[in-house]
Amino acid sequence: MTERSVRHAKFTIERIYPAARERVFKAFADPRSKAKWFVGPDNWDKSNHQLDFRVGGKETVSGGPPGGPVHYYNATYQDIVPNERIVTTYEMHLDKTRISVSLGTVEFKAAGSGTKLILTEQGAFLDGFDRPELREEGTRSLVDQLGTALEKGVV
Amino acid sequence: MSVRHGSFTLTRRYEATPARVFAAWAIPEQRSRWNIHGSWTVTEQTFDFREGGEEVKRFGPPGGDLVHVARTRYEDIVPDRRIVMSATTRDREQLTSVTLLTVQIEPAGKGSTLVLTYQAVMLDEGDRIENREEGWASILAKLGEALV
Repeated sequence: MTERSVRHAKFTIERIYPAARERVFKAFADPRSKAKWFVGPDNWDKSNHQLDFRVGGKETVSGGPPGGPVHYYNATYQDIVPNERIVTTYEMHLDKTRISVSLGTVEFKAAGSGTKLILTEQGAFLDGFDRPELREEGTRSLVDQLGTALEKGVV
Repeated sequence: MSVRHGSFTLTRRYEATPARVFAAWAIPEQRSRWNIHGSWTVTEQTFDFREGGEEVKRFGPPGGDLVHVARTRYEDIVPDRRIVMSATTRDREQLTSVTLLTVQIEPAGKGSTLVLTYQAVMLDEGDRIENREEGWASILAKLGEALV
């Protein structure tokens, strides 16, 4: 019998961006905007990003280091309140192996003239293929990339 | 608008093999015997137990006019060992929660240990996670009775 394990975990990341809530929300909602920051490291091979931003809609993207395993992200939008919050469930595959199933919540709150982003992930990490610490680190990189994109005015 | 995150874990020991415990989830006729808490009733249930399969369950208290709708998607299934599900629950039209539910089944002597892990975001004060924990405790007790 294959060794099976599940590690459950939760992490929260907060950021304040000097940009209006509508603009930060649009960086999640608009496919062209999201594709600018929701990407792996620069040297990764990437496949096309697909985003159907509506309740019940799907999002897929994949990527990985050249010659290495491909990471697949497959999400479903469960709840959308414009400029307020987004709830998704998503699973990740490493090549053909499912490595995690997660519940992601993004909250957008006004903070002065800017926006406070609160991102919470609850996840089930499967069979030791991935660790919550790595997911948190990867997610921090993504919200930093969002910050850079907002700063440069590309989203 | 409100968002509350929470989780709980319930562990139960059953005098039934992992294969029997798994079958109680996988086979519709078996699951229908226990998969509702307390005296509540299921008014409609579809079944699609496979990875990527989606089910709808309508349920509520006896004689009440509250209609709850749970939509479940099977995310990961390992026969006799594990079921991971995502789900939304609505009270009439209002979305009250999005959840991630993991059921792990391990052999324990001649029987099994079941560990249920519930992770959720509870929305807009539509329900409390404490109610969900009570509900699942009731459901797992019924599962135990069904396995006898």
